Amino acid sequence: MKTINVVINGIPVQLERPMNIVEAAKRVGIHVPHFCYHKELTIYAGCRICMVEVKGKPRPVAGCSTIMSDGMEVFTESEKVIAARKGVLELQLLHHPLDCPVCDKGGECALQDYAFKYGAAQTRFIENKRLIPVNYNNPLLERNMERCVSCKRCVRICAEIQGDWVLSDMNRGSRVTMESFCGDESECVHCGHCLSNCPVGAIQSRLYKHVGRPWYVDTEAETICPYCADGCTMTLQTREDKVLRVVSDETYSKGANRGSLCVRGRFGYDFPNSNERLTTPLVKKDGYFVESNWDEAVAHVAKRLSEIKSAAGPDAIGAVIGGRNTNEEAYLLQKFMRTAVGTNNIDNMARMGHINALNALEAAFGVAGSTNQIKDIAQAKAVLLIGNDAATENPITGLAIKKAVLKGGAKLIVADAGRNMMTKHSSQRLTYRAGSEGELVMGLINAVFATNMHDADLEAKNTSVFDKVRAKAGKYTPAYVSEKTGIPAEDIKRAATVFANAKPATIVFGKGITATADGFGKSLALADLAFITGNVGKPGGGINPMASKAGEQGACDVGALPDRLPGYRKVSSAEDRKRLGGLWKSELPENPGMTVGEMVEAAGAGKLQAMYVVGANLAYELPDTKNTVEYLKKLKFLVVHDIFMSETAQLADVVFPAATFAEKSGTFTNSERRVQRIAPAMKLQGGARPDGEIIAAVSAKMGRPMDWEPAVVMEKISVSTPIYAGITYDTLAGGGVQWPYYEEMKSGTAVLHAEGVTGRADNTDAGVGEGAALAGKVFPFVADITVSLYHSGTTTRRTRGPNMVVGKALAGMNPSDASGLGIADGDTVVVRSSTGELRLPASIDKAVPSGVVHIPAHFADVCAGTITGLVLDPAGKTPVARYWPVAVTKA
Amino acid sequence: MIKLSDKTIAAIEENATRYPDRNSVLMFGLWKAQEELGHLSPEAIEAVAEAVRVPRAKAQGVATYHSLYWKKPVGENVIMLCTNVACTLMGAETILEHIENRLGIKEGHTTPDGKFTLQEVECIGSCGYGPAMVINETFYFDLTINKIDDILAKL
Ligand code: SF4
Ligand code: SF4
Ligand code: SF4
Ligand code: FES
Ligand code: FES
Repeated sequence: MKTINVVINGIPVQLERPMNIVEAAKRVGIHVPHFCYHKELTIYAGCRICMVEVKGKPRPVAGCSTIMSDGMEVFTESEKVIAARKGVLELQLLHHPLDCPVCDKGGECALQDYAFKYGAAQTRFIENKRLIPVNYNNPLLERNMERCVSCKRCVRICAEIQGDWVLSDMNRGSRVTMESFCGDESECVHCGHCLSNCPVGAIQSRLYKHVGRPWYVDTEAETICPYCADGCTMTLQTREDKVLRVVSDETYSKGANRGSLCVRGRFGYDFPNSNERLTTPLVKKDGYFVESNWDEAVAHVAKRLSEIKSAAGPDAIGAVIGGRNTNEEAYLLQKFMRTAVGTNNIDNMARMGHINALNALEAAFGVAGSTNQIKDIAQAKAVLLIGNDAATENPITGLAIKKAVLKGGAKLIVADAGRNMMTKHSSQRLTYRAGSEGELVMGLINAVFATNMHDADLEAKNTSVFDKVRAKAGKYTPAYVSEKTGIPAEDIKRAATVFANAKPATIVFGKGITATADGFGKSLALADLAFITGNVGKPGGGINPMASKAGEQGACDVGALPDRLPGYRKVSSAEDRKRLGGLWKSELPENPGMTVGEMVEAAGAGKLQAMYVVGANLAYELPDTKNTVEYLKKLKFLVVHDIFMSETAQLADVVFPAATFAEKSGTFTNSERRVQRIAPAMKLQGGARPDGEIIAAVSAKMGRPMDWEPAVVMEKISVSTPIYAGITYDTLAGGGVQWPYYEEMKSGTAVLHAEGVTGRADNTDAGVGEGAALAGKVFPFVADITVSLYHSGTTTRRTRGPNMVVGKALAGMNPSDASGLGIADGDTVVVRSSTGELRLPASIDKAVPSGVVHIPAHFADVCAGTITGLVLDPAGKTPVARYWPVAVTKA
Repeated sequence: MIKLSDKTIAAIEENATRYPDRNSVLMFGLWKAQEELGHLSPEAIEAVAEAVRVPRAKAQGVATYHSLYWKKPVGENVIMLCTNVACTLMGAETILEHIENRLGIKEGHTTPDGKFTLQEVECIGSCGYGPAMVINETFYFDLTINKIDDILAKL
């Protein structure tokens, strides 16, 4: 494309592509006022504040909707323009309440700024102000339509980016208001896009109401959301070491989320301020916690661990790190276990599912990570979303999928056993019987081969792999799969056709696959499907596994795994042990260690005597709560780091108060392999310390001092962890890096295997198992235990925002199931399994398939682990706990 | 929840075949539902949204934008009087006052006998012949007080 030469306010500007006047002016630092324009939204051109003068045109034109052409000369602040702009402001101020002193937008309001700049304070019209009561229909937002400038940005962002279309402009002219249908905000998912995008104070956060002013903020830090593994970039603003609020990136360009956030990130920010925070090390004496100090507590832990180590051997000690911890902390913990303690008994909470995906992708393509990047999904022409509710579990990935559908016209196939909030955007919904997800995937592969829709060129280069996959899928004919899954054969064929014919097509999957029996084999089958359709190595294609928590991918990457050293090097490899041992000046233990589930079992059997648990709430997150608690109680010594007195901390002998993400540095690696930095926005609270510092202190006391400053640790990681080579805090500045990083190009890798991929036939033996029906006579329902959009565990339970929307667990049930059992909405139901029972109110929800009860995890009073058992899948040793057979009765 | 008649649904489906995008059917669907139900209650708007497959907020936005969609029950005859700039300059306000007095109702209301509803509307594209109004589907222009009396007497 030929460059376009234009002149803006006398400054010559070269544009490499056509763009509107507002954007072109931005290039040379000129701000053209605008209300309704937003670069990510369709052009509305309704507010007229962006008027500019174009040489040769009789009247001013709208800068947002006028595309610059070669030779155009524009004046953005000429007399004529200013007169036009004043006119627009005069009309706006006619109705505007001018209540700036009590409006939280004051200081960052476009109307205030423009009125100030252009001095259009007087009006020649006589008109009544609009009197519209503030609308409090939304638990987190207040809508003050007197202040609205009718720019419709809220309406458009909710419809176009969030994809929920909760709001519309109701009525017209001076009576227009931005509202939900009859004021019913039940469709709102509280993402806050409308809030962050309103140029004035018409939409405000009820959490932030009268909390602060922009100039009241004393510290702000660009950081990463600590909740899910989408890893959103956001800015945390604090004053006097209290979090004031979270704001999203106004440039809509940074990180994986590019300006978007979900309710957890945007409103789940105040747990660092909680007065329930642990503030001092606690040591249990005679069954009661006694406040201790750091020196004493650290010495005590080192002494007890050393004693147990010398009495029962290092393998009598195990450690687990949770999903909220940084890469550096996970690295330090595994190094501590492998050197100071001398065991490979180290695991992280990716064991709850994600590890299966990583192992499968490594087996299939050689790299234990997502093949693509989240924003890439928007380019896909078809998306197979299976066993993952992207709208709830990883909402930013959900937005990318919605973008593919809404902007790119992609076909979305939603395959799930339970409720899936992405269904409304799908062109096809496949509801399989819980447990039969593997058969469905094999059925899709079978159908692709049966109609020769696979990539024939790729087959020519990979004949043996293709043969093997073809043979494996042989028995999964549509008729067979239909019988197993309950999905009509025609639907399976149709889905296969849509997926195979779309180029590129991508797969997004999560715990509905990985946390079920044979999660490894099922993940592998998905990798095969991506491979045979020729989608691997293509932007917009590939396969994207969704980790659950912010720290899961990274903890695996840096070796917090019992069978893997940093960078997925195998513990069983003498060469890798030697190399790493050389770096660490230590001889590394050669027996693979125990996974978290095995550790708990071994604790029950008395084989494991001590555990060191960092930020993982095992007594709550693991299945089979009753036995888990009992087994943990049998430990001779339990150390827990946590922010709060979690269920697990209560069982501990020593509890260390940990710093939150808001107080420390470090990195998280998100689901798309993007290593990103978090930065402190406040001082350490109470006596809390960063987990890394605590681990290093204990390690030093045990004779192995370690550096714990995160930047230094990252330097060490980049040496010891080959996939992180070249990654330092400097390379991570400005949006993070998707590993592997290439120094020559100064960039990470958005799409893996772009140079071509060869399947690894030798590794692809695992099958998908027999998805025997879970529901039976005694337990006729299947509990689908999933995360809630509003909660993710110990931390969200201590935040006001999410609790203002969803404060308690509800059992979602299909209307027909409910009426069959005489259950009405709100009735208390008993959900009973072979291991225990839960009592909670029912929520009648037609999005829940018949035969399924939807049980949200992560509520304090309703612990889903009560109704599940600890069953470890043989391949990944992952607890199989996503679906559990239950009976439901009215209480 | 209101269910639209099969006839209305069929009309919506037929109309949908004429456009590449179902959004284009929304206004038609609202119109048909109004024909069937007399006015567009929130439930009716929701039913149309479902039939056309658009978000219900969007349907309500469109329904509340246009004055030809009646959000409240209306009388037998709906008087839609333009009070936009040109018509107002030509005396629409006097006409409005006259109708209000004659019918004994305020703008936006319906006579107790259910015979008339009076509604102010924005420009109806007849500025050269103002004041102008539409009653039901009939168009009247160059209005005077006498003319109004004649017209209303005949209804
Ligand atoms: S919070 Fe999100 S879903 Fe709710 S109205 Fe605003 S943009 Fe829409
Ligand atoms: S509420 Fe805000 S974003 Fe929405 S139209 Fe009004 S001014 Fe614009
Ligand atoms: S929870 Fe996930 S999607 Fe939501 S803001 Fe945080 S990282 Fe982003
Ligand atoms: S910003 Fe251009 S018309 Fe609103
Ligand atoms: S102003 Fe009344 S018809 Fe145009």
